[in-house]
Parts: sequence; structure tokens; C-alpha cells
Amino acid sequence: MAINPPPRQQRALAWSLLIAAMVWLVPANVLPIMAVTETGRGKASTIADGIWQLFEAGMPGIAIIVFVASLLVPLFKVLVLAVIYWRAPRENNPLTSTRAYRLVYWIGRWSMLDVFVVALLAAVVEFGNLARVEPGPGIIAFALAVVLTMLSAHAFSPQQLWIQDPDGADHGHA
Amino acid sequence: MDTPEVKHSRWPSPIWLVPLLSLLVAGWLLYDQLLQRDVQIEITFENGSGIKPGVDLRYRGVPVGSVDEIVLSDDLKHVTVHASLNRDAEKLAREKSRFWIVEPELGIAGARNLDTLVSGKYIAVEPGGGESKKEFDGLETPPEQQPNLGLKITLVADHLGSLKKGRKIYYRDLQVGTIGESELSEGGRFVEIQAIIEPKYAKLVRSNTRFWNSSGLTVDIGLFKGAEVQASSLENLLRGGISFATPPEPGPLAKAGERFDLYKQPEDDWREWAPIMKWK
Repeated sequence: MAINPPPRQQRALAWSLLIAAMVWLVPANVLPIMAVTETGRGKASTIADGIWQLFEAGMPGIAIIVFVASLLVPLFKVLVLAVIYWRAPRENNPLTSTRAYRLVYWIGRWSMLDVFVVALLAAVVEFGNLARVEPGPGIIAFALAVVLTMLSAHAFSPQQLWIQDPDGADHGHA
Repeated sequence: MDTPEVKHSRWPSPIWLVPLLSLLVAGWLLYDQLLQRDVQIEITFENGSGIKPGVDLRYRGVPVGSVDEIVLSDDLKHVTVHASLNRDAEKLAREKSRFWIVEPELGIAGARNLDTLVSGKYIAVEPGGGESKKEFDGLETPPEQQPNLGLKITLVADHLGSLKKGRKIYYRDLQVGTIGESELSEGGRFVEIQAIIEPKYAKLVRSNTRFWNSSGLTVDIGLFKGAEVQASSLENLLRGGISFATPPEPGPLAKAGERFDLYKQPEDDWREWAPIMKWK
């Protein structure tokens, strides 16, 4: 098994990546993720726009799925990780935290779905004047947020949750 | 066994550059995309003629913005189009800029803007000078069909014929003006046709200038001379237009609003009239 760096350093790395992910979540949700051009008419949509359009189009089921997968889950992941990191130095319920951590780690692999959807649409829907999909700046921010969240979760090792660690420093070579 | 020496750096770990850099780049991206976003303008049209949200604003054939929403005015007499102009096209929103709706035109003398059949109508912009402005009155027809400047005169004719608005006025087959609105005279005996001569050619019109309807063919068949066919230009023949000539002794300059008779056809010598007039 690989030797983990000291918990404090580990957390610093995880925190910094998580904060970067939080920062990128803002443009990911505010900026358009793709621009759909139909018969010469262009429309750029953000994630929230897309959900609303699905809802208006009479597809509340898909709207809810997209809402959960694209809006709720990334936010939820970041928040859960933040809580875990925050509690890590004085963890009194390591089992729950470890489970939450594993859940977030497991969801990570599905989070790039949006990015793939946009990439696929942009590649497939290319009919010149009739219909065209172009990726927007929001999707890059979204991808960065997802990648940074995953890296952050990866940088943190849940073993340290089980170690009594009064101040988080100088552990392991007393 | 030696205990490892633990060194604490005075500097925070370089990994904190990642969130810092993220903050800078994301902040710049947000600023770039949101705060410096498109310029919102309003254009008022008398008729929306099928414009929908999402329709392009174009300048020189290139999209420079798009329509966001269309609102009916309170008195139901106008349509206000809310549109956003791209940042780089901000300079198009000036006091004297003109906006009009481009529609497909099909006629026997030619078809124009056929691309709008597929891609839909769009709003064209022609930049003008002056202060930057946010509210505009849209033109009902393209500016080349309605020069607001220029010498306006009234031509009086028996019939309107094919002299519809937007048709051209020619001097020596050179286009120098446009036909504007026409209406019935007060007594109902004549048709009054507005004619607008481009400012630079305004000096060609004198008080004794003769106007005639140059659309159509003049066919003269005589027993001894055979058939004589006269038409000014093919385009004129198909679309209809007005020509004029000024006698060898040109009179004083025509005043704005002056009335002229519109003859059905030129007399023989009118075409030979070639007075020297300093038009510049």
C-alpha cells in the first residue's frame, strides 16, 4: 500500500482542489453550456435554461433527472466533501463519514455525463444552416469543476478519519 | 534509527495556486461573458412581419446580434423588438443607424434575399453616425428603397401603372432616385406619386423638367416606316420606372414639393435633350 502523506498536507491538497472546484461551479451554472442553432436562429442555454426548457416541453421526468444529475449532484458532492474535510481532524463518527466519502467517490465517475452529452451533440448535430450545436464556455467550467472535485476526493484518504488526531499535525512520527 | 527531520516551509504549499488561479480565470470568464455582455437595444417597427425571438441581427451579411423578445406597444400600433447586439458590434447602435427587416423578394425582374426563405427573416443594420443610442425606429423597407433625404417632388399622373413604391427614377438610364408613396389626388382625378431624387442629383431637376413613365414598350407601327420599338432598359421594362429630361435651356432649380406632370411617354425630342448642368 502506498504511503500517504501526513493528514494535514493531504487535507491542504484536498481543500485547495475542492475550493477550485467550488469556484468553477459558479461559471458552470451561470454561463451557457451550449448554443443550439436551428434554421439560422441561435440560442445559448445554461444548465438551468435547459432544465426549464425540458419542463416547458412537457418532459418533467427528464427535467428532474437533468436537474438532479447536473445541478444537484455536483453541488451535493462539493458540500459533502467540504463537511468531511472539515470534520476530519476531530472525527467522532468515522463510519458515516467514510460511507459518505465512498458515495461521493463512486458518483464521481458518472459526473462527466453532461460533458459527454454536449460533446456528442456538438459532433453529431452539424447540419450547416439547419441545425448546429456549439459548446459554450459553461461546459468547460463544468468539466473543470467535476475533474477538480474528483481529484480532491482522490487526494483525501478516508483512513485518516479513523485516526485520533488532536490537531492534525505531526502525526505518525511521535 | 534516526527520526526523519521535519521541515516546515514558511510558504503555503504551491497547491494553493490552483484555487487562486481558478478564481482569477473563472472571475475573468464571468466578467467577460456577463458584465461585458451584449448591448441591449430596442427597435420599433410598425409591423413585425414574422420576426421571432432568436432571429439574427445582421450587418454586411454577418450575424451581429439576435432578437430576445417582441412586445406589442400599449396602443397596439407598434411592435417593439428587444434585441441584443454583440459587444464587438456595439458601434452599430448609433443615433443615425438604421434597422429594417429583410424578407425574400420575388419578382419578374429578379429575386433577392432568397436565403431568408430557408434561414428565415432577419433584421439588417446599417450603421450611422452620432451618439450611441439604445432605442430606434425601424424602417419598413430597406433604406435603398426609401431614402429619406433628397429632393421630394410630386408627380401627377392619370394612372399609377406599375409605378409602385421602391421603383426607380432614371436620368439617361442612370438611377438617380426612388418612387415613394402614391395616393389619389383630392378630387380623385389623378394619382399623386411621391418621387425622391438623391441629394447629389437634385440639381438635375429644374422647373421645366419633363417626367415620363418609362416602363413598358412603345411600339410604333407605320405603313411606310415599319415597326419601331422603344424601351429604356430591360429592368425598367420589367419593373417599371420613371425617366426625366431637362430642356436645353434649363430653368431654375426645382423646389421641394414642386408638382410635375407625369407623361405616358416621352416626346421624340426629349430623349435628345442634353443641357449642360453642373450637378455636383
